[in-house]
Amino acid sequence: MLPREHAMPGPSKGRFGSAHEDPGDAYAGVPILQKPAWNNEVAAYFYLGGISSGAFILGALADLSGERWRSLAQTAHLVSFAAMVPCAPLLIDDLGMPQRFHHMLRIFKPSSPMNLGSWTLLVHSGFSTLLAAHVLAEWDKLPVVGSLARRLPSRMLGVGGILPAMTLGGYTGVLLGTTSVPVWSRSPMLAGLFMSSAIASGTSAVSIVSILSGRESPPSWDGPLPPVEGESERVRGSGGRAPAELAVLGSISLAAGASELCLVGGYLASSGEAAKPLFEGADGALLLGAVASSVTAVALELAGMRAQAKRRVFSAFAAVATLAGGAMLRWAVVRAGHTSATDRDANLNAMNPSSQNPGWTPPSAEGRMS
Amino acid sequence: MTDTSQHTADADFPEFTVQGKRGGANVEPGLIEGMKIVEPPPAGEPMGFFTDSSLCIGCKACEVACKQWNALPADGMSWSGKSYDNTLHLSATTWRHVSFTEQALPDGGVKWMFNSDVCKHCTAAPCQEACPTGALIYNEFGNVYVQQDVCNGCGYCVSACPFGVIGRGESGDGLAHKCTLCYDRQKDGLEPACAKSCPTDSIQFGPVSELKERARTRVDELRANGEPNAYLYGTDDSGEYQSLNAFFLLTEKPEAYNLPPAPTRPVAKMLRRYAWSAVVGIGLSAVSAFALAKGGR
Repeated sequence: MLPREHAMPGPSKGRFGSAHEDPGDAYAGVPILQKPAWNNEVAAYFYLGGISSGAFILGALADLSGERWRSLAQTAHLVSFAAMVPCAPLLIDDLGMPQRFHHMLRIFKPSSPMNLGSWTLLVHSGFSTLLAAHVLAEWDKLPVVGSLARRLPSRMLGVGGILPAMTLGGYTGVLLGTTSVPVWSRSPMLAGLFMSSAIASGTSAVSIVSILSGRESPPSWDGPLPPVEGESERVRGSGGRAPAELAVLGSISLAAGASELCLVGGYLASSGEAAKPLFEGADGALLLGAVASSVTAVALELAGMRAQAKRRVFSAFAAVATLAGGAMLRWAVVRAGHTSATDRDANLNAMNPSSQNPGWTPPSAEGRMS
Repeated sequence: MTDTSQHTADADFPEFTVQGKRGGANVEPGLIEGMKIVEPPPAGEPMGFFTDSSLCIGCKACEVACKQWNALPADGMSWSGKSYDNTLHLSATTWRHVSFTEQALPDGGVKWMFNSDVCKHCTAAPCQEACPTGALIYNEFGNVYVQQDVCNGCGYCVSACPFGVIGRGESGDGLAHKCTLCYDRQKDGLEPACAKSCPTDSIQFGPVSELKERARTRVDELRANGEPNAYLYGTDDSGEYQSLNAFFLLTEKPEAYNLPPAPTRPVAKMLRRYAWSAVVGIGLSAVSAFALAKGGR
């Protein structure tokens, strides 16, 4: 039995009687695209994957830059590992049939960013795990396989892992960019923006862990690693209240924060009308929060440079702001995709005929206007 | 033992003989069948749909036939408020959708247009390009097909399709579903259910090359008989988008049928996006390396 109001539609109800002068309006309000299937799990994965990626790159570079950064590198490896652990579960939970997660790896298909991303996450997880194991083994905190893990070539692992880590930080933007959803796909800069945010938030996570654990400087050498002659002696001797790590992490955060702000601007500008959902409602507020957090972080780092005595406090708050901003950015962009895909005008705008992509349209201009 | 030797001697499975000794392995025949890597059938001539909207009377027989043959659940039977449209769009459980377009004419009359929308079976399909598992394939009839035993419901195809065709069965199995172009019927030499049921031959099924010829003749015929606006949607490559194996004859702009005028192919711009992330990633890594080299001295 049909509900009564459905049985007899008629013009008297006001919203029926759908004749329009422009037949193009007949389906006004009915989106062309499907609503994306990706939600909070995906946003969280983008965020944590970014942190893991940024921390890994920092750790690998620190390992290569001399023994004086050993403590920093260790923190970075552990942060990268910790951020990596929830990634795969989040992605698996997002699947329509989670028990088939391994089907992602039954083929290698680089034309699909999601397939490439799955392989990347697998490889990155391997490198990140080995390096974290190496760090724990150095501290004598890894049972059973400790002696084995201590012998791992951590620098070589770092070098080998940089490419997968960088791919992990950036491919998420490519993944969204390689869809038909206007707000995700109009601008090529989203991939750069996510990469930039990955490095900023990864560096900030390392920074905050360093500060809170008091491991930043002077190096405590609480592991079996002996102080190296010369260089590390100098580092030890220089242990003032503005540790060298914070200065370096501050410079990297500044560069990443500045580039993130430029890329947000570029992304919004080059998206044109497709960026509309990022200026409205909750998603607009999230993006505004992301930008405000980045600006705050940059300002705090700059202030910290002038106030060496309070550098740790400034750096800590800058790192918190960056981390909060990175999360807001991911959620704003993922959520805006839902608004964008279900907005018919945005759909049509993005798929308007152009000289590069003329599409299929009627022969006469009269036809278009009727 | 004679039975086993018969199976292991099967020319299809030389690898199942144990160290070359035929009949040496006592293998359950059904097990071998299950492990057999089946050679895909050779690609034949691409088959497709020609949907001629000028012949459509909006009877929805195609929607019903599709639901029946493919055992798809009903959509709740509600009116959308858009003329006599029920479902408004294609979805995981709606593989044919008749659009109803009412145009108010200056003389007070109404022009009523119908079109039976379906998966376009693109010759370069964004859903197939996006699919990370290889579930989405081109079958031997040149049709885009979701292998239900492979799909894991990642949802990438849903956002990749510029026509909003493919959906994830959120209330069902969570996998991607769309028109199969009645793969099972084609396997048995039958035409798809919708084409079979169409009372006016608005939906025509056949080899794509033949259909295109027929469609072009039909456009000429309509133009000569007072419908100058008749045109084909999807028969030819257009910019970044390649032709469709399920194409349409329309008499109004695509928006009138809620079709995108110029669909985009996501993968066309993929490398530029990778380039942006690589430039930013390498640039910031270089800054980091520089800061680490200079700092702490």
